[in-house]
Amino acid sequence: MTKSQPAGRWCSEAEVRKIIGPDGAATPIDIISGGWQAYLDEGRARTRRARACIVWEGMIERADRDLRDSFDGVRKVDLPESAGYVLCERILLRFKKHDRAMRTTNVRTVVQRVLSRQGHFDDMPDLAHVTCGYVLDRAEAGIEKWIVARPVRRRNEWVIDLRDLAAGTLAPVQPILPGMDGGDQDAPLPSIRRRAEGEEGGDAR
Amino acid sequence: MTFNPKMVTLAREAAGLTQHSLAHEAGISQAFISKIEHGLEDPNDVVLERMGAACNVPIQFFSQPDEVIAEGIVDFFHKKRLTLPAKPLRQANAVANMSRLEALRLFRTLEFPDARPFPAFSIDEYSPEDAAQAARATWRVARGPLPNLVALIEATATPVFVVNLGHEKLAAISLPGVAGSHVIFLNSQLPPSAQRFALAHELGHLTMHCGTASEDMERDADAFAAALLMPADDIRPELRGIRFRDLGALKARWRVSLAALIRQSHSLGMISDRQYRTFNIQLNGLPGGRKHEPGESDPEQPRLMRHILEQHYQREMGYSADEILGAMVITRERFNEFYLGAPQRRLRAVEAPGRTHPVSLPG
Repeated sequence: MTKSQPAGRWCSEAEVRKIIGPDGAATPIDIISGGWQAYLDEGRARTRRARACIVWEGMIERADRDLRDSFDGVRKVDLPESAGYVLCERILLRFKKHDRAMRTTNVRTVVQRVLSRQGHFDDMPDLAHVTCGYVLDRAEAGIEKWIVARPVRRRNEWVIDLRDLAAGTLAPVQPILPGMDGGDQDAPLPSIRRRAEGEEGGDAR
Repeated sequence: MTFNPKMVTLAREAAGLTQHSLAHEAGISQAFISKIEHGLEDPNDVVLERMGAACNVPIQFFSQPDEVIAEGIVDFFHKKRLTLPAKPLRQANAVANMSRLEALRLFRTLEFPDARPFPAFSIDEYSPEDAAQAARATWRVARGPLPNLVALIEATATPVFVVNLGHEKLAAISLPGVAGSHVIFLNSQLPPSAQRFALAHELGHLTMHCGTASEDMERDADAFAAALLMPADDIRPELRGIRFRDLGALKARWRVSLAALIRQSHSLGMISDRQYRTFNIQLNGLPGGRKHEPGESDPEQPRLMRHILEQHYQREMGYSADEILGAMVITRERFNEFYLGAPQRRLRAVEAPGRTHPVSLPG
């Protein structure tokens, strides 16, 4: 039933930043915040279900409704015990709760172990998995961070802060391919051109 | 061309000469040198020739109309110890000024269409750590250890010189310029890891402090350098539970000194105060101590000036060696030392002998 290749498809932080984009980042933030608000509205006193479960259902309900409006070519994929959304036929995005180390927190079922190591099931698209979700503050009274992460086993290859992305904040990113940009190769020297006549001038260049 | 008295002072200080010793070398009186430097006397060609020979500059150097950068607090940035004597600092400033002028003479007619942007994030708006991360983002540097920093800076068309600055307590000098035409000097006496940190420190000044000065600017530049070379989020997992014997592998990976790693571990709270003291005691106990740490990587070599000279001026423009010397207003000896990597003379002050040999003053 399952394939257990560990790495799945490579997907860089830069690529996911481009797919979501500053304009699209507000939508997952709204979806996650809406899920949390659904939990607050329902109130734990009236149910025995886990908090993360209530928030997740709230997020999925809003994602079904809002995600398609913000991104082109979104489709929902039903997964065992879960659900995911394919964006641009490039990434499979799952809504999750993250702990303060920004790792997903799960009961370690077989399905969750396969998903966490970027494995996939037979009827599931062979795409890179990323998780989209929230990190609670220390008092667990509210959401502190809205993030997208690429987990591989118990480690995140990268994490994107959705509020920073929405605000267009400059941030270092992992390169498109491993070893690109940040590898041992030296930055190339700039090309040289003779200044046009009349532009010659002291310090300005 | 008109005689420029400021150039005499500049050439004399760059050569490490006092007025007294220059007078001796040139065979004139110290009073006459003083009057020349104050613009009260115009020397004739014979005197100019002698002064040029003593200071290792061509005679045309004294007629250059260039502005010499003054020693204001934001005209020069230094990474130095407080105990650095004034004399070698003055000489290093003059050497830096001369090299800046030489670079500007070459760059004056050039432009660099695909140069990377030089980061500019004022300390008024950014913390040093945020400015460092913004600088990495500007250059699209991935997380983790920073690649060749000299190459990154030279990709912005900012020349970096690795020269003997004359005193080991002076690590680096940078001269901010108009419209981003900065120049940075690193002391070749330092080990490569210290040069790299000093370069990141100067980059911090040029990124955060252009046109502004504050009491904490040196501390800010150090914080910038640490955050640029060892970003907290990236290095923290590698510092967890660290022992002294682990530092060597981290030094090879991050290309920073053991001392910088220990300091960063402490400032990030990864080691206790007691461990910090113990690590420093162990570092001092190494055979070379702090000054000659083991496990140095290859130094990062500047390439920009040589590239401009060889690729543009020699190959594309067909300049001969003498024409390049003329364009830069530089002697062959200094050119070989600074630009072609010939063995450098150690910059040192020359003490004047007890008496001078005045000559008859030209009419």
